[in-house]
Amino acid sequence: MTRMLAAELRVVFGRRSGQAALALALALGVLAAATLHILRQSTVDAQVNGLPVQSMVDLSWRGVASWGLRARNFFALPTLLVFATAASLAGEIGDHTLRELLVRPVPRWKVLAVRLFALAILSAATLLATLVPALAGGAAIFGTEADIGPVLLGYLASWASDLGLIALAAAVAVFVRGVAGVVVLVVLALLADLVARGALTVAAGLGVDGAETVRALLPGSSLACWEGWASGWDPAAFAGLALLLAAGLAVAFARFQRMDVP
Amino acid sequence: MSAALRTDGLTRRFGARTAVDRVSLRVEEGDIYGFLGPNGAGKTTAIRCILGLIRRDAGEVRIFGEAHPVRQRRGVGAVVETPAFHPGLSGRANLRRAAAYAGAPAEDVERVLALTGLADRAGDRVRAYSLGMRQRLGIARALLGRPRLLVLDEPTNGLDPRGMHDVRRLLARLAAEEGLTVFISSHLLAEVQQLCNRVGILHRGRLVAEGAVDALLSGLGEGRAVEVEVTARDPERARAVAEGLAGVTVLPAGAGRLRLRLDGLDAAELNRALVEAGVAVSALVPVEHSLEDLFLRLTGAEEAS
Repeated sequence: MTRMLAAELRVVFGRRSGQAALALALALGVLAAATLHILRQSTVDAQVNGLPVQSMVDLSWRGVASWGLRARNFFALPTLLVFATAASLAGEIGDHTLRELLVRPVPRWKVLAVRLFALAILSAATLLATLVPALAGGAAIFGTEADIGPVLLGYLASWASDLGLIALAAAVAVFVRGVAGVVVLVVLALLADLVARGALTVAAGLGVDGAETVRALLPGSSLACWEGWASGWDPAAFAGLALLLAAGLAVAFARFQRMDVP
Repeated sequence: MSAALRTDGLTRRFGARTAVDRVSLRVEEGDIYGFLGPNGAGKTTAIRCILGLIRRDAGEVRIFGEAHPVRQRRGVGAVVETPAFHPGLSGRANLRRAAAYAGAPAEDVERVLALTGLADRAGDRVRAYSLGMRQRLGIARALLGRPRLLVLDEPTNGLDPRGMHDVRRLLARLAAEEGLTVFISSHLLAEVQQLCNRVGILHRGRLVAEGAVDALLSGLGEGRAVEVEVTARDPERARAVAEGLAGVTVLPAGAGRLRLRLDGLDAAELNRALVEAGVAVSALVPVEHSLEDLFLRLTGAEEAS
């Protein structure tokens, strides 16, 4: 299993989606430090609601790490993770490279598990690629006085959120032939989720019982569980994430076990 | 001793269409077994069922007596249709990945590269390989982990005559030197006749014949008229004489050739009759039946029914 995982890591990190994800994550970490440094040095009197911008931003190494995390989790990188998952499953089914491994004496669940492990490691690597330069840059610019414990928990929660996203993408990828198809379907599903959450927010505002609870359990809310480091942790979001992870993995493994591989 | 590969009642349906219909075949250890059939006969589907790539609706597959779907693949190497690789990785890197899944030691990669004559180009990216090299790399990958049974689906598809010759020679050498049992599907009958000792013929998903090539071909001649080809100094005179003989039918043949069907007359009697009529016969050769004859006869009978 270790050799299989090492082989998969070489492939996952060697793909353009993997390399792009790492490069982007690294750039965002550096960019967060540079942006906050520029903001601190700025002599422009920019105000929002009568308050100087500088007073609204946490100008510390914790602030750099948190802005890095926000930027890292905004659309592009999660999309690249979906790409990487799709390439590992739908892509390899489509180009027949997966077939060449399935004729080997390895149970299918192991083949899938190894891929998901490799993707989880890619996700962790992208988080570290943002965190390390953000912390290093932030420490050099602002010093290390601020408590970074909560934001580190945010990075950890973000990894859990990535696992949910990978599980969701894997569940789609075992039904769809083609990387682009998987990405489009996952994005559409998350847009539908966004609309549903909006409707539930309105319903909660109108006093509909349970609307808020259901909203918290939806994938979009669950995938945003990492935001809790700043706004307070929401157990319902984590319960939703656990549900998403379990359902995604159950569908992916059940389908992969029985599917015809051309 | 258990067979290298045995299927019993192997069946796979796609909706209303039965692609593989109760196929029961047996490949003995040491065989080079040709799995024949026209395009669309169900060969690839049957092979995918055997390798566990697609589900079977009924039937059983045993490989060296083992029925467990994962354990039975321990002794098997396979190339299904055109082998697929990560084009951006080198041939060696692709094999290393496969070796990890095959549970084969890393050194095995160099062994199979040497066996297939690819050691010199192993560091090149696969996208730079010719089709023939990819095919050989596919065979190299199948040989990882020292399998006892090699399953090859149309291994010479798309290759030029030189490439086909190289692959055939490689397979014959592997069978002889490595003691492999080879199960090879093809629709190229001449190729199979050159390479295989036993064949199974699949038509419309059903196995319509199976056995040793020699036995099947000799069975084809039984109860039928003998065909001979005559080479004479004066072919026109030879034809005129033959047409006058009882039990001889002149068959269509190429220019300058005389092909005869003998029914109730043997070749020696024909020769004597020609010589006595003043025809100088330089050769009289019985026509050997080919797999193509057998194949056309069997599939033709199926068409008729």
